[in-house]
Amino acid sequence: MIGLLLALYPAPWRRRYGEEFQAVLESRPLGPFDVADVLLGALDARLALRLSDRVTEHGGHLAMLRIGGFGAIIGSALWFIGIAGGSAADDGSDTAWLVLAMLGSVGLLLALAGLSGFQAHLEPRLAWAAFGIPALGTVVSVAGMVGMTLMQDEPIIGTWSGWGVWMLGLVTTLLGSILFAVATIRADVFSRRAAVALAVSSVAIFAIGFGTVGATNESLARLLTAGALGAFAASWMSLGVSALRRRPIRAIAPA
Amino acid sequence: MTDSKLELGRFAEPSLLILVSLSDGPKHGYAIMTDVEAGTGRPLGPGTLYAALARLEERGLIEALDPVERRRPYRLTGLGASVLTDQLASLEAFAKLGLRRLGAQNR
Repeated sequence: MIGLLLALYPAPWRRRYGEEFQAVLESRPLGPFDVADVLLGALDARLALRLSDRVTEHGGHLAMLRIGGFGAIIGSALWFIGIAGGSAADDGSDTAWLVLAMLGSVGLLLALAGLSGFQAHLEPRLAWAAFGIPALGTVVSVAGMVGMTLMQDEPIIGTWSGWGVWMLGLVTTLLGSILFAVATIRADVFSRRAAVALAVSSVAIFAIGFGTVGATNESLARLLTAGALGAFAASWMSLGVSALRRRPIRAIAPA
Repeated sequence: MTDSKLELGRFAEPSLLILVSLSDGPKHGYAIMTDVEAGTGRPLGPGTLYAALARLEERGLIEALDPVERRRPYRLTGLGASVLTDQLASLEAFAKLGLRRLGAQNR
């Protein structure tokens, strides 16, 4: 009887509330009042599901949310460790660090795709622009890293060395990250604080990068750069955490 | 949050009962049902309970905690406590008005 009553509810509702609802139904003998109430509840859940546009939009994007969340957390961590390790390695053993940074970049690409996909229905143009630019930058960065690994300082495209291509990709990624942060703040789907931190840290990387060119105190310049890159990675991680913390409740609750 | 976002339609009354039930600490679904029944003398059906819980959670007035075995407790959020305080104050003022009028009529 309980299984039959539960089956009347829509599947997304059962995924969210099914287990605890079943526990409630099993807590005491069901009377006619309870059965009638559950029937009306199932009807209400089905009507709410049909009436709410958000159901299919959010429900269909839950996988994107997870991919984006894990991509942001793992990708940013690998990216930072790879960049920091590669910068610190002076003995020519930076290939492993570059591979790590490349894997991190791929993770960030997945994060961009997943998180942009999830918030695209709110700010379609901005969200997809905010995906496209940093995604292009990430791909260029990865190409630069591959060039650095295979060709060292030799030119890989025209007069551009792998490092130059990587820098071009990094600048594009940072510009796109600022755009992505703006889209995230406007959509108000994920942590706004993390989005602001992402924008600020992206600007800080630019500012420190240009501000420390030719600086005499090299260790201070390195420290500042590492801090800004760390803040950039931490902002992505925080965005990833806020994406994973989003409950699928919006997918089933009525408008 | 605007009033329109808090609009709970026919689930306004059960929602208020649930918020009051959660005002002294987190409870799972069955505990809310028995608490409401004990407090009002009227049963709260499981279908109505979960329809109202979904609406309250969607509006950020309550939040789900980690499940204990198969039962998931819910607790009042800061917004929920604020909304409940406003609603109870409004009801209190309305009740006082009614009682005052009744008193004046019976004199």
